[in-house]
Amino acid sequence: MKVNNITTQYEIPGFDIAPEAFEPAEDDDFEDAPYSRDPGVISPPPAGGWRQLLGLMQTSPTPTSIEPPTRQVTGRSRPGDTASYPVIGNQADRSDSQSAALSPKVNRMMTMLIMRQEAIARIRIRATEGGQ
Amino acid sequence: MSSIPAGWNDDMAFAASEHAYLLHSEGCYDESLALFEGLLDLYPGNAYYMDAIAALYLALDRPESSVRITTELLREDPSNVQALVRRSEAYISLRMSREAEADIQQLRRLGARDDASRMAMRLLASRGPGLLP
Repeated sequence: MKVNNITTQYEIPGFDIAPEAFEPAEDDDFEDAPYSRDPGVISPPPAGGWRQLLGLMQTSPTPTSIEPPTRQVTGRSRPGDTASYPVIGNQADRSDSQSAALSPKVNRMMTMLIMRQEAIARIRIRATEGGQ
Repeated sequence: MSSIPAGWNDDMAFAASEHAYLLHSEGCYDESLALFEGLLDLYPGNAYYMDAIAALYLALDRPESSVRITTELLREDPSNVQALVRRSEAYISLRMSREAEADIQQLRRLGARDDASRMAMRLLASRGPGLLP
């Protein structure tokens, strides 16, 4: 048998508190008491708890760590540069001549991104088939 | 002039950057480097890509390459704290203590005391226990 609550009553000799002392009187109204409506007293702890609050969940930066990208820092050359690029081929239809026009590094990046897109598409198709 | 694939836009650049960042977080440094190098080829001089590549060179134990790219970053912006941290780390790996010390001094001058202290400790540790009293 599992017991969730145990009530214990203590008896202290020579010490008697009248039961009515614990019952609030009818005229006791704490509405106007200072801090009775202070939201700080009853507000829940911040999301993530005290570890988040103290920054303990953050990893300390190291020489090999990098910041996540933002839209402000990606997709542009150095400030002040006016980018001018010849557009090469169609992304969905990459023939050898189109690939050859791109630099080897861009080519490798595009191959990786296309492979990733294909992998995601395969997973989605499998998920759809599994759901039916 | 660089060539850019058809259909390429800012959203694709951001998505590719996020993917490269996630690969770095997962420890897939070679793959992350390949993406960041491609992005830097499309956007020459982009400080974020250069900084990420410098970090990846360090992670891949290529400190000479890291020194080259951080020096380029510092030529553009001599007060780039992150580039100084990475270059001092690269110098420490290359056992170029004097150069590392100069970068640590520069960090102090820029007010990056925490970074300077951390790198000074790294430099001290790299010298080995023989030099400690």
